[in-house]
Amino acid sequence: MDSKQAPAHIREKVLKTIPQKHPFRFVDAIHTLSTEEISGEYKVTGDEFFFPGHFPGRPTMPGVILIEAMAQVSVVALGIYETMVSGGDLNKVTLFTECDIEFFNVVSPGSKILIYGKKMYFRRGKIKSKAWVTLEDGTLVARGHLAGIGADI
Amino acid sequence: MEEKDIFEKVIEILKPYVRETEDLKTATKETDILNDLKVNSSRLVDIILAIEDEFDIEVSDDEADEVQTIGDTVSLIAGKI
Repeated sequence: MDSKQAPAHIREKVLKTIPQKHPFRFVDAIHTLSTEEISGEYKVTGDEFFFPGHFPGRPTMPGVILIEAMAQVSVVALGIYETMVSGGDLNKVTLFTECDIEFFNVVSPGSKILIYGKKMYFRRGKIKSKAWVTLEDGTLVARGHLAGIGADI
Repeated sequence: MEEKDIFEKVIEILKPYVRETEDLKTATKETDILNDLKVNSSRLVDIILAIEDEFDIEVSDDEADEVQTIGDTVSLIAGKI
């Protein structure tokens, strides 16, 4: 089991390889990365496209977007790194297959969220991870598990 | 372990992944896991992992690719235990 930490240039390469781009990118940086675990962050600017409607006058980050942020880190980015390490096909796109997430707190504009993932398995092109999100002070926002599979689309 | 016992254990393993658990009551060795039980193909990995844990065996990706029916699954397991 290789738990060696990826160097900064590899973390940057993984970040750039994530296929989701603005305005649907919800990870700004990858802080730690190995074939077992990953952590990253996203700064919620308040300029995101969904805040005017969710909710008018009470901007709150939608749970589905938090799930997307968790998926982009713990499934997509970790899956890209696993694929890089194992010499797999990086042209495939990781499609979401399932998740089970609980929410504990809300996220407002101006917050920075920290996103963590821990691999449960990576097999036959499918990755499943435990994931959790906290605010900078450690307050738990969401936790659960997510999975995705590499596909040609 | 007799094939009948393996069959029953496979049915239990499939339960969380089928669309209608009622369909398992009439399942036979000819029942197709994806087409008849409407299992999401992405869940086959979870099913293979559950089989490996339950029967303490290893299933290669190539072997897993050959599995279509419950009977295929039972035969694969029977050949390894």
